[in-house]
Amino acid sequence: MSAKARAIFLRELRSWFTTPLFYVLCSAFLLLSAFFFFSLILQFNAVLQQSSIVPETTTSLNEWVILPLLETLEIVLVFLIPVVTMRLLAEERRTGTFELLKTSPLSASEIVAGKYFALLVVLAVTVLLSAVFPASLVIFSDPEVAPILVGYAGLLLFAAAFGAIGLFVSSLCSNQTISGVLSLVVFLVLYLIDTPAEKIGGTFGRMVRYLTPASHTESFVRGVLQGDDIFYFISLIFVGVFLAARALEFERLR
Amino acid sequence: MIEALKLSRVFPGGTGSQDIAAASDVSFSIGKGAIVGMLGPNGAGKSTTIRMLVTSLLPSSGTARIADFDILKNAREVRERLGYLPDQPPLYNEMRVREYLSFVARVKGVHSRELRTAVDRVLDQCDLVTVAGRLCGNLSRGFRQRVGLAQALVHRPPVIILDEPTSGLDPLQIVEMRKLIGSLRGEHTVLISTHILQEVTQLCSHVVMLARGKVVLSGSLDEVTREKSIETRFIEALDHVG
Ligand SMILES: Nc1ncnc2c1ncn2[C@@H]1O[C@H](COP(=O)(O)OP(=O)(O)O)[C@@H](O)[C@H]1O
Ligand SMILES: [Mg+2]
Repeated sequence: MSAKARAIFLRELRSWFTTPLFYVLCSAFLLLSAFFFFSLILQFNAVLQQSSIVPETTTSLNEWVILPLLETLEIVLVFLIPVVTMRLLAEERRTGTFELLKTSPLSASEIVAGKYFALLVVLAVTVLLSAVFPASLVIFSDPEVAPILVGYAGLLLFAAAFGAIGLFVSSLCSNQTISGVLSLVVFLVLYLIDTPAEKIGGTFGRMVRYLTPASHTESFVRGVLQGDDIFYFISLIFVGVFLAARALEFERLR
Repeated sequence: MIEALKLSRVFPGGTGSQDIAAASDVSFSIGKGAIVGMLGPNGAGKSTTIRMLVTSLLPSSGTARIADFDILKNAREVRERLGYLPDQPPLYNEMRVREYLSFVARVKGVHSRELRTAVDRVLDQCDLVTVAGRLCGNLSRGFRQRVGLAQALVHRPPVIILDEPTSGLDPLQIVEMRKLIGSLRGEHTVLISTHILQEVTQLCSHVVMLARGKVVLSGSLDEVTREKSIETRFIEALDHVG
Protein backbone atom coordinates (compact mmCIF):
# COMPACT_ATOMS: atom_id res chain seq x y z
CA MET A 1 0.00 0.00 0.00
CA SER A 2 1.26 3.47 -0.79
CA ALA A 3 1.78 5.95 2.05
CA LYS A 4 -1.37 7.81 1.04
CA ALA A 5 -3.51 4.69 0.85
CA ARG A 6 -2.14 3.75 4.27
CA ALA A 7 -3.17 7.16 5.60
CA ILE A 8 -6.71 6.57 4.37
CA PHE A 9 -6.67 3.04 5.80
CA LEU A 10 -5.54 4.18 9.25
CA ARG A 11 -7.99 7.08 9.34
CA GLU A 12 -10.83 4.81 8.36
CA LEU A 13 -9.86 2.20 10.92
CA ARG A 14 -9.57 4.80 13.66
CA SER A 15 -12.97 6.16 12.74
CA TRP A 16 -14.47 2.64 12.94
CA PHE A 17 -13.02 1.96 16.35
CA THR A 18 -13.95 5.34 17.82
CA THR A 19 -17.57 5.41 16.73
CA PRO A 20 -20.35 3.34 18.32
CA LEU A 21 -21.57 1.73 15.08
CA PHE A 22 -18.77 -0.85 15.05
CA TYR A 23 -19.46 -1.93 18.63
CA VAL A 24 -23.20 -2.13 18.02
CA LEU A 25 -22.59 -4.29 14.95
CA CYS A 26 -20.18 -6.60 16.71
CA SER A 27 -22.54 -7.04 19.64
CA ALA A 28 -25.48 -7.68 17.32
CA PHE A 29 -23.54 -10.29 15.38
CA LEU A 30 -22.32 -11.97 18.56
CA LEU A 31 -25.78 -11.97 20.09
CA LEU A 32 -27.33 -13.53 17.00
CA SER A 33 -24.53 -16.09 16.77
CA ALA A 34 -25.05 -16.99 20.41
CA PHE A 35 -28.77 -17.38 19.91
CA PHE A 36 -28.42 -19.65 16.89
CA PHE A 37 -25.57 -21.58 18.45
CA PHE A 38 -27.46 -22.43 21.61
CA SER A 39 -30.66 -23.32 19.75
CA LEU A 40 -28.63 -25.68 17.59
CA ILE A 41 -26.99 -27.22 20.65
CA LEU A 42 -30.41 -27.83 22.22
CA GLN A 43 -31.61 -29.39 19.00
CA PHE A 44 -28.52 -31.58 18.89
CA ASN A 45 -29.20 -32.72 22.44
CA ALA A 46 -32.66 -33.87 21.44
CA VAL A 47 -31.18 -35.73 18.47
CA LEU A 48 -28.68 -37.45 20.75
CA GLN A 49 -31.50 -38.70 22.96
CA GLN A 50 -33.44 -39.96 19.94
CA SER A 51 -30.42 -41.66 18.45
CA SER A 52 -30.38 -44.16 21.30
CA ILE A 53 -33.79 -45.26 19.95
CA VAL A 54 -33.18 -44.79 16.20
CA PRO A 55 -29.61 -45.99 15.68
CA GLU A 56 -29.15 -44.84 12.03
CA THR A 57 -29.22 -41.06 12.68
CA THR A 58 -25.82 -39.43 12.59
CA THR A 59 -24.69 -37.77 15.76
CA SER A 60 -21.97 -35.68 14.20
CA LEU A 61 -21.53 -32.39 15.98
CA ASN A 62 -20.20 -30.86 12.76
CA GLU A 63 -23.29 -31.81 10.82
CA TRP A 64 -25.85 -30.82 13.43
CA VAL A 65 -24.28 -27.65 14.83
CA ILE A 66 -21.38 -26.24 12.80
CA LEU A 67 -22.89 -26.62 9.35
CA PRO A 68 -26.27 -24.99 10.12
CA LEU A 69 -24.53 -22.32 12.22
CA LEU A 70 -22.32 -21.31 9.30
CA GLU A 71 -25.30 -21.27 6.95
CA THR A 72 -27.24 -19.06 9.32
CA LEU A 73 -24.33 -16.67 9.89
CA GLU A 74 -24.06 -16.28 6.13
CA ILE A 75 -27.63 -15.02 6.04
CA VAL A 76 -27.02 -12.75 9.03
CA LEU A 77 -24.06 -11.28 7.12
CA VAL A 78 -26.26 -10.60 4.10
CA PHE A 79 -28.29 -8.27 6.29
CA LEU A 80 -25.42 -6.90 8.34
CA ILE A 81 -22.87 -6.01 5.65
CA PRO A 82 -25.06 -3.30 4.05
CA VAL A 83 -25.09 -1.54 7.41
CA VAL A 84 -21.29 -1.68 7.46
CA THR A 85 -20.74 -0.57 3.87
CA MET A 86 -23.53 1.96 3.42
CA ARG A 87 -21.64 4.83 5.01
CA LEU A 88 -18.23 4.17 3.46
CA LEU A 89 -18.43 6.88 0.83
CA ALA A 90 -21.95 8.21 1.23
CA GLU A 91 -21.06 9.65 4.63
CA GLU A 92 -18.00 11.47 3.27
CA ARG A 93 -20.17 13.03 0.60
CA ARG A 94 -22.67 14.23 3.19
CA THR A 95 -20.13 15.80 5.56
CA GLY A 96 -18.09 17.34 2.73
CA THR A 97 -14.87 15.49 3.51
CA PHE A 98 -15.09 13.84 0.13
CA GLU A 99 -14.41 17.26 -1.38
CA LEU A 100 -11.07 17.15 0.46
CA LEU A 101 -10.17 13.69 -0.86
CA LYS A 102 -11.26 14.61 -4.36
CA THR A 103 -9.02 17.67 -4.51
CA SER A 104 -5.99 15.96 -2.98
CA PRO A 105 -3.24 14.34 -5.03
CA LEU A 106 -4.73 10.89 -4.47
CA SER A 107 -5.76 8.32 -7.02
CA ALA A 108 -9.20 6.75 -6.85
CA SER A 109 -7.50 3.40 -6.31
CA GLU A 110 -5.67 4.71 -3.25
CA ILE A 111 -8.94 5.90 -1.70
CA VAL A 112 -10.70 2.64 -2.48
CA ALA A 113 -7.79 0.45 -1.34
CA GLY A 114 -7.49 2.28 1.99
CA LYS A 115 -11.21 2.00 2.60
CA TYR A 116 -11.49 -1.59 1.51
CA PHE A 117 -8.65 -2.84 3.72
CA ALA A 118 -10.17 -1.09 6.74
CA LEU A 119 -13.50 -2.68 5.89
CA LEU A 120 -11.80 -6.09 5.74
CA VAL A 121 -10.40 -5.60 9.23
CA VAL A 122 -13.82 -4.62 10.58
CA LEU A 123 -15.56 -7.58 8.93
CA ALA A 124 -12.83 -10.02 9.98
CA VAL A 125 -13.00 -8.90 13.62
CA THR A 126 -16.79 -9.21 13.61
CA VAL A 127 -16.83 -12.65 11.99
CA LEU A 128 -13.97 -14.05 14.04
CA LEU A 129 -15.51 -12.96 17.34
CA SER A 130 -18.37 -15.34 16.64
CA ALA A 131 -15.81 -18.14 16.44
CA VAL A 132 -15.80 -18.34 20.24
CA PHE A 133 -18.85 -20.60 20.01
CA PRO A 134 -17.40 -23.28 17.75
CA ALA A 135 -14.15 -22.89 19.69
CA SER A 136 -15.98 -23.70 22.90
CA LEU A 137 -17.15 -26.91 21.25
CA VAL A 138 -13.56 -27.83 20.53
CA ILE A 139 -12.74 -27.32 24.19
CA PHE A 140 -15.75 -29.08 25.70
CA SER A 141 -16.50 -31.70 23.06
CA ASP A 142 -14.86 -33.35 20.06
CA PRO A 143 -15.97 -31.91 16.73
CA GLU A 144 -13.65 -32.17 13.73
CA VAL A 145 -11.53 -29.02 13.80
CA ALA A 146 -10.44 -28.81 10.16
CA PRO A 147 -13.99 -28.30 8.74
CA ILE A 148 -14.59 -25.54 11.28
CA LEU A 149 -11.45 -23.73 10.14
CA VAL A 150 -12.38 -24.17 6.49
CA GLY A 151 -15.93 -23.02 7.21
CA TYR A 152 -14.70 -19.84 8.84
CA ALA A 153 -12.22 -19.18 6.05
CA GLY A 154 -15.16 -19.48 3.66
CA LEU A 155 -17.28 -17.18 5.78
CA LEU A 156 -14.49 -14.58 5.72
CA LEU A 157 -14.21 -14.85 1.94
CA PHE A 158 -17.96 -14.46 1.67
CA ALA A 159 -17.89 -11.34 3.87
CA ALA A 160 -14.95 -9.89 1.91
CA ALA A 161 -16.77 -10.39 -1.40
CA PHE A 162 -20.07 -8.87 -0.26
CA GLY A 163 -18.09 -6.09 1.40
CA ALA A 164 -16.52 -5.24 -1.98
CA ILE A 165 -19.93 -5.10 -3.64
CA GLY A 166 -21.25 -2.94 -0.80
CA LEU A 167 -18.30 -0.59 -1.25
CA PHE A 168 -19.13 -0.26 -4.93
CA VAL A 169 -22.78 0.52 -4.20
CA SER A 170 -21.72 3.09 -1.60
CA SER A 171 -19.40 4.72 -4.13
CA LEU A 172 -22.46 5.47 -6.28
CA CYS A 173 -24.64 6.96 -3.56
CA SER A 174 -24.63 10.24 -1.70
CA ASN A 175 -27.31 9.08 0.72
CA GLN A 176 -26.47 6.47 3.34
CA THR A 177 -29.94 5.01 3.59
CA ILE A 178 -30.30 4.59 -0.15
CA SER A 179 -26.85 3.06 -0.28
CA GLY A 180 -27.78 0.58 2.46
CA VAL A 181 -31.12 -0.43 0.97
CA LEU A 182 -29.61 -0.78 -2.50
CA SER A 183 -26.81 -3.02 -1.21
CA LEU A 184 -29.31 -5.16 0.67
CA VAL A 185 -31.42 -5.58 -2.47
CA VAL A 186 -28.37 -6.50 -4.55
CA PHE A 187 -27.24 -8.98 -1.90
CA LEU A 188 -30.65 -10.59 -1.59
CA VAL A 189 -31.05 -10.93 -5.33
CA LEU A 190 -27.58 -12.45 -5.62
CA TYR A 191 -28.26 -14.74 -2.72
CA LEU A 192 -31.78 -15.83 -3.51
CA ILE A 193 -31.52 -16.28 -7.27
CA ASP A 194 -29.98 -19.64 -6.49
CA THR A 195 -33.25 -21.51 -5.98
CA PRO A 196 -35.05 -20.38 -9.17
CA ALA A 197 -31.84 -20.97 -11.14
CA GLU A 198 -31.78 -24.52 -9.88
CA LYS A 199 -35.40 -24.96 -11.02
CA ILE A 200 -34.72 -23.59 -14.53
CA GLY A 201 -31.92 -26.06 -15.00
CA GLY A 202 -30.12 -26.40 -18.32
CA THR A 203 -27.04 -24.45 -19.33
CA PHE A 204 -28.63 -21.09 -18.54
CA GLY A 205 -29.69 -22.24 -15.11
CA ARG A 206 -26.22 -23.58 -14.43
CA MET A 207 -24.67 -20.29 -15.56
CA VAL A 208 -26.88 -18.19 -13.31
CA ARG A 209 -26.27 -20.63 -10.53
CA TYR A 210 -22.53 -20.30 -10.95
CA LEU A 211 -22.87 -16.55 -10.41
CA THR A 212 -24.69 -16.78 -7.09
CA PRO A 213 -22.58 -16.94 -3.97
CA ALA A 214 -24.95 -19.48 -2.44
CA SER A 215 -23.76 -22.18 -4.82
CA HIS A 216 -20.17 -21.46 -3.75
CA THR A 217 -20.74 -21.61 -0.04
CA GLU A 218 -22.32 -25.07 -0.13
CA SER A 219 -19.05 -26.92 0.01
CA PHE A 220 -17.18 -24.74 2.44
CA VAL A 221 -19.85 -24.98 5.13
CA ARG A 222 -19.23 -28.74 4.82
CA GLY A 223 -15.56 -28.17 5.38
CA VAL A 224 -14.42 -28.44 1.78
CA LEU A 225 -12.66 -25.43 0.30
CA GLN A 226 -12.56 -25.77 -3.51
CA GLY A 227 -10.31 -23.78 -5.81
CA ASP A 228 -13.33 -22.96 -7.93
CA ASP A 229 -15.15 -21.34 -5.01
CA ILE A 230 -12.08 -19.42 -3.86
CA PHE A 231 -11.62 -18.13 -7.41
CA TYR A 232 -15.27 -17.05 -7.50
CA PHE A 233 -15.04 -14.99 -4.31
CA ILE A 234 -11.69 -13.44 -5.20
CA SER A 235 -13.14 -12.42 -8.59
CA LEU A 236 -16.12 -10.86 -6.85
CA ILE A 237 -13.74 -8.88 -4.63
CA PHE A 238 -11.78 -7.61 -7.63
CA VAL A 239 -14.88 -6.68 -9.57
CA GLY A 240 -16.36 -4.78 -6.60
CA VAL A 241 -13.16 -2.90 -5.81
CA PHE A 242 -12.42 -2.16 -9.47
CA LEU A 243 -15.91 -0.79 -10.11
CA ALA A 244 -15.76 1.31 -6.94
CA ALA A 245 -12.50 2.90 -8.13
CA ARG A 246 -13.99 3.57 -11.59
CA ALA A 247 -17.07 5.12 -10.00
CA LEU A 248 -14.89 7.54 -8.04
CA GLU A 249 -12.94 8.52 -11.15
CA PHE A 250 -16.20 9.21 -12.88
CA GLU A 251 -17.32 11.40 -9.98
CA ARG A 252 -15.64 14.53 -11.30
CA LEU A 253 -18.05 14.53 -14.23
CA ARG A 254 -21.04 15.28 -12.04
CA MET B 1 -0.66 31.70 -10.86
CA ILE B 2 -4.42 31.31 -11.32
CA GLU B 3 -5.75 31.73 -14.82
CA ALA B 4 -9.37 30.98 -15.70
CA LEU B 5 -9.95 30.56 -19.43
CA LYS B 6 -13.64 30.82 -20.34
CA LEU B 7 -14.74 28.46 -17.57
CA SER B 8 -18.38 27.49 -18.02
CA ARG B 9 -20.61 25.08 -16.22
CA VAL B 10 -24.20 24.17 -16.94
CA PHE B 11 -26.31 22.21 -14.46
CA PRO B 12 -29.31 20.36 -15.76
CA GLY B 13 -32.49 22.00 -14.43
CA GLY B 14 -35.24 19.79 -13.04
CA THR B 15 -37.77 18.22 -15.36
CA GLY B 16 -39.36 20.90 -17.52
CA SER B 17 -37.25 23.74 -16.17
CA GLN B 18 -34.37 25.36 -17.99
CA ASP B 19 -30.75 24.35 -17.51
CA ILE B 20 -28.84 26.53 -15.09
CA ALA B 21 -25.74 28.26 -16.43
CA ALA B 22 -23.98 28.53 -13.08
CA ALA B 23 -20.84 29.93 -14.73
CA SER B 24 -20.50 31.30 -18.26
CA ASP B 25 -17.15 32.13 -19.84
CA VAL B 26 -15.50 33.09 -16.59
CA SER B 27 -12.01 34.40 -17.39
CA PHE B 28 -9.52 36.16 -15.18
CA SER B 29 -5.87 36.05 -14.40
CA ILE B 30 -4.17 36.36 -11.03
CA GLY B 31 -0.48 37.05 -10.58
CA LYS B 32 1.84 35.52 -8.01
CA GLY B 33 1.49 36.71 -4.42
CA ALA B 34 -1.80 38.55 -4.88
CA ILE B 35 -4.86 38.24 -2.68
CA VAL B 36 -7.90 38.31 -4.90
CA GLY B 37 -11.49 38.67 -3.83
CA MET B 38 -14.16 36.97 -5.90
CA LEU B 39 -17.15 39.11 -5.12
CA GLY B 40 -20.75 38.30 -5.92
CA PRO B 41 -24.20 37.91 -4.41
CA ASN B 42 -25.46 34.49 -3.33
CA GLY B 43 -25.99 32.22 -6.30
CA ALA B 44 -23.64 34.23 -8.52
CA GLY B 45 -21.58 31.14 -9.33
CA LYS B 46 -18.65 31.67 -6.97
CA SER B 47 -18.63 28.15 -5.53
CA THR B 48 -19.17 26.64 -8.96
CA THR B 49 -16.21 28.54 -10.41
CA ILE B 50 -14.04 27.64 -7.44
CA ARG B 51 -14.97 23.97 -7.62
CA MET B 52 -13.90 23.91 -11.25
CA LEU B 53 -10.58 25.59 -10.38
CA VAL B 54 -9.80 23.08 -7.63
CA THR B 55 -10.52 20.08 -9.92
CA SER B 56 -13.59 19.02 -7.99
CA LEU B 57 -16.05 19.76 -10.77
CA LEU B 58 -15.48 19.30 -14.47
CA PRO B 59 -16.21 22.41 -16.58
CA SER B 60 -18.81 22.09 -19.34
CA SER B 61 -16.36 24.07 -21.44
CA GLY B 62 -13.23 26.14 -20.95
CA THR B 63 -10.33 25.37 -18.69
CA ALA B 64 -7.96 26.98 -16.22
CA ARG B 65 -4.32 26.93 -15.26
CA ILE B 66 -3.09 26.78 -11.69
CA ALA B 67 0.62 27.30 -11.07
CA ASP B 68 1.06 26.78 -14.82
CA PHE B 69 -0.66 23.39 -14.86
CA ASP B 70 -3.86 22.73 -16.74
CA ILE B 71 -6.74 21.65 -14.47
CA LEU B 72 -7.95 19.11 -17.02
CA LYS B 73 -4.71 17.64 -18.34
CA ASN B 74 -2.59 17.85 -15.19
CA ALA B 75 -5.12 17.54 -12.38
CA ARG B 76 -2.67 15.75 -10.11
CA GLU B 77 0.02 18.44 -10.40
CA VAL B 78 -2.65 21.07 -9.74
CA ARG B 79 -3.84 19.23 -6.64
CA GLU B 80 -0.31 19.02 -5.27
CA ARG B 81 0.04 22.80 -5.47
CA LEU B 82 -3.32 23.74 -4.10
CA GLY B 83 -4.83 24.42 -0.70
CA TYR B 84 -8.62 24.52 -0.70
CA LEU B 85 -11.21 25.36 1.93
CA PRO B 86 -14.69 24.41 0.66
CA ASP B 87 -17.74 26.34 1.87
CA GLN B 88 -18.20 23.66 4.54
CA PRO B 89 -14.90 22.90 6.32
CA PRO B 90 -14.16 19.25 5.45
CA LEU B 91 -13.51 17.93 8.96
CA TYR B 92 -13.76 14.38 10.26
CA ASN B 93 -15.72 14.94 13.45
CA GLU B 94 -14.41 11.86 15.22
CA MET B 95 -10.77 12.95 14.81
CA ARG B 96 -8.71 15.19 17.06
CA VAL B 97 -7.43 18.41 15.48
CA ARG B 98 -3.77 17.37 15.46
CA GLU B 99 -4.58 13.90 14.11
CA TYR B 100 -6.75 15.41 11.43
CA LEU B 101 -4.08 17.82 10.28
CA SER B 102 -1.45 15.09 10.08
CA PHE B 103 -3.89 12.97 8.09
CA VAL B 104 -4.40 15.79 5.60
CA ALA B 105 -0.64 16.41 5.45
CA ARG B 106 -0.04 12.75 4.62
CA VAL B 107 -2.71 12.71 1.95
CA LYS B 108 -1.26 15.87 0.41
CA GLY B 109 2.10 14.15 0.18
CA VAL B 110 4.05 15.75 3.05
CA HIS B 111 6.98 13.48 3.88
CA SER B 112 6.55 11.59 7.15
CA ARG B 113 9.77 13.13 8.53
CA GLU B 114 8.39 16.63 8.05
CA LEU B 115 4.89 15.79 9.26
CA ARG B 116 5.30 16.97 12.82
CA THR B 117 6.89 20.28 11.96
CA ALA B 118 4.28 20.91 9.26
CA VAL B 119 1.42 20.28 11.68
CA ASP B 120 2.99 22.29 14.48
CA ARG B 121 3.57 25.16 12.08
CA VAL B 122 -0.08 25.44 11.00
CA LEU B 123 -1.38 24.87 14.54
CA ASP B 124 0.69 27.88 15.55
CA GLN B 125 -0.09 29.91 12.44
CA CYS B 126 -3.86 29.46 12.80
CA ASP B 127 -3.80 29.83 16.57
CA LEU B 128 -5.05 26.31 17.21
CA VAL B 129 -2.50 25.16 19.77
CA THR B 130 -5.06 25.25 22.58
CA VAL B 131 -7.51 22.99 20.73
CA ALA B 132 -4.95 20.60 19.17
CA GLY B 133 -6.22 17.73 21.33
CA ARG B 134 -9.95 18.42 20.94
CA LEU B 135 -12.30 16.44 18.73
CA CYS B 136 -13.17 18.31 15.52
CA GLY B 137 -16.84 17.51 16.12
CA ASN B 138 -16.84 19.48 19.37
CA LEU B 139 -15.36 22.70 17.98
CA SER B 140 -17.23 25.98 17.60
CA ARG B 141 -17.88 27.34 14.13
CA GLY B 142 -14.94 29.77 14.41
CA PHE B 143 -12.49 27.03 15.32
CA ARG B 144 -13.85 24.68 12.68
CA GLN B 145 -13.24 27.32 10.05
CA ARG B 146 -9.69 27.85 11.33
CA VAL B 147 -8.95 24.13 11.28
CA GLY B 148 -10.30 24.20 7.73
CA LEU B 149 -7.83 26.93 6.87
CA ALA B 150 -4.98 25.11 8.61
CA GLN B 151 -5.84 22.06 6.52
CA ALA B 152 -5.46 24.15 3.36
CA LEU B 153 -2.04 25.44 4.46
CA VAL B 154 -0.43 22.33 5.90
CA HIS B 155 1.50 21.32 2.79
CA ARG B 156 2.58 24.92 2.02
CA PRO B 157 0.84 25.12 -1.33
CA PRO B 158 1.70 28.08 -3.57
CA VAL B 159 -1.99 28.61 -4.38
CA ILE B 160 -4.73 28.86 -1.78
CA ILE B 161 -8.43 29.02 -2.60
CA LEU B 162 -10.96 29.74 0.14
CA ASP B 163 -14.72 29.60 -0.43
CA GLU B 164 -16.43 32.18 1.81
CA PRO B 165 -13.95 31.76 4.64
CA THR B 166 -15.75 34.21 6.94
CA SER B 167 -19.35 33.11 6.42
CA GLY B 168 -21.14 32.05 9.57
CA LEU B 169 -18.56 33.60 11.90
CA ASP B 170 -19.28 36.20 14.58
CA PRO B 171 -17.76 39.71 14.18
CA LEU B 172 -14.71 38.99 16.33
CA GLN B 173 -14.00 35.73 14.54
CA ILE B 174 -14.35 37.53 11.21
CA VAL B 175 -11.69 40.04 12.23
CA GLU B 176 -9.35 37.22 13.30
CA MET B 177 -9.94 35.22 10.13
CA ARG B 178 -9.27 38.25 7.94
CA LYS B 179 -6.05 38.95 9.82
CA LEU B 180 -5.01 35.34 9.27
CA ILE B 181 -5.74 35.47 5.56
CA GLY B 182 -3.94 38.81 5.29
CA SER B 183 -0.85 37.18 6.79
CA LEU B 184 -0.65 34.83 3.80
CA ARG B 185 0.09 37.76 1.49
CA GLY B 186 3.30 37.44 -0.46
CA GLU B 187 4.17 33.82 0.25
CA HIS B 188 0.99 32.44 -1.30
CA THR B 189 -1.35 33.41 -4.09
CA VAL B 190 -4.78 33.59 -2.49
CA LEU B 191 -8.28 33.58 -3.96
CA ILE B 192 -11.19 34.11 -1.60
CA SER B 193 -14.85 34.31 -2.45
CA THR B 194 -17.17 36.58 -0.53
CA HIS B 195 -20.37 38.54 -0.75
CA ILE B 196 -19.10 41.21 1.62
CA LEU B 197 -17.70 44.35 0.01
CA GLN B 198 -15.56 45.44 2.96
CA GLU B 199 -13.80 42.12 2.94
CA VAL B 200 -12.45 42.90 -0.49
CA THR B 201 -11.43 46.46 0.30
CA GLN B 202 -9.72 45.41 3.54
CA LEU B 203 -7.95 42.34 2.34
CA CYS B 204 -7.56 42.13 -1.39
CA SER B 205 -5.30 43.65 -3.99
CA HIS B 206 -7.51 42.52 -6.85
CA VAL B 207 -11.19 41.88 -7.38
CA VAL B 208 -13.24 39.71 -9.72
CA MET B 209 -16.95 40.49 -9.61
CA LEU B 210 -19.38 37.77 -10.57
CA ALA B 211 -23.10 38.08 -11.19
CA ARG B 212 -25.36 35.44 -12.71
CA GLY B 213 -22.38 33.32 -13.60
CA LYS B 214 -20.58 36.05 -15.53
CA VAL B 215 -17.57 38.20 -14.74
CA VAL B 216 -18.94 41.74 -14.67
CA LEU B 217 -15.84 43.55 -13.50
CA SER B 218 -12.26 42.65 -12.71
CA GLY B 219 -8.95 44.32 -12.06
CA SER B 220 -6.78 45.67 -9.32
CA LEU B 221 -8.62 47.34 -6.49
CA ASP B 222 -6.95 50.68 -7.27
CA GLU B 223 -8.12 50.58 -10.88
CA VAL B 224 -11.63 49.55 -10.01
CA THR B 225 -12.07 52.17 -7.29
CA ARG B 226 -10.22 55.02 -9.01
CA GLU B 227 -13.32 56.91 -10.14
CA LYS B 228 -16.14 55.44 -8.13
CA SER B 229 -16.42 53.62 -4.85
CA ILE B 230 -16.58 49.84 -4.93
CA GLU B 231 -20.19 49.95 -3.72
CA THR B 232 -21.23 52.05 -6.70
CA ARG B 233 -19.28 49.84 -9.06
CA PHE B 234 -20.88 46.73 -7.62
CA ILE B 235 -24.41 48.09 -7.85
CA GLU B 236 -23.84 49.33 -11.40
CA ALA B 237 -22.51 45.95 -12.39
CA LEU B 238 -25.52 44.20 -10.87
CA ASP B 239 -27.91 46.57 -12.63
CA HIS B 240 -26.12 45.94 -15.86
CA VAL B 241 -26.83 42.17 -15.85
CA GLY B 242 -30.40 42.81 -14.66
N1 LIG C 1 -24.86 20.68 -8.10
C1 LIG C 1 -25.72 21.61 -8.58
N2 LIG C 1 -26.81 21.22 -9.28
C2 LIG C 1 -27.66 22.14 -9.78
N3 LIG C 1 -27.53 23.46 -9.65
C3 LIG C 1 -26.47 23.92 -8.96
C4 LIG C 1 -25.51 23.01 -8.39
N4 LIG C 1 -24.56 23.75 -7.77
C5 LIG C 1 -24.91 25.05 -7.94
N5 LIG C 1 -26.05 25.16 -8.66
C6 LIG C 1 -26.71 26.42 -9.05
O1 LIG C 1 -25.75 27.25 -9.66
C7 LIG C 1 -25.92 28.59 -9.26
C8 LIG C 1 -24.64 29.13 -8.67
O2 LIG C 1 -24.40 28.52 -7.42
P1 LIG C 1 -23.08 28.74 -6.58
O3 LIG C 1 -21.90 28.58 -7.46
O4 LIG C 1 -23.15 27.87 -5.40
O5 LIG C 1 -23.21 30.27 -6.14
P2 LIG C 1 -22.47 31.08 -4.98
O6 LIG C 1 -21.39 30.22 -4.42
O7 LIG C 1 -21.97 32.30 -5.67
O8 LIG C 1 -23.49 31.42 -3.96
C9 LIG C 1 -27.10 28.63 -8.31
O9 LIG C 1 -28.23 28.99 -9.04
C10 LIG C 1 -27.19 27.19 -7.85
O10 LIG C 1 -28.53 26.87 -7.56
MG1 LIG D 1 -21.12 29.47 -2.44
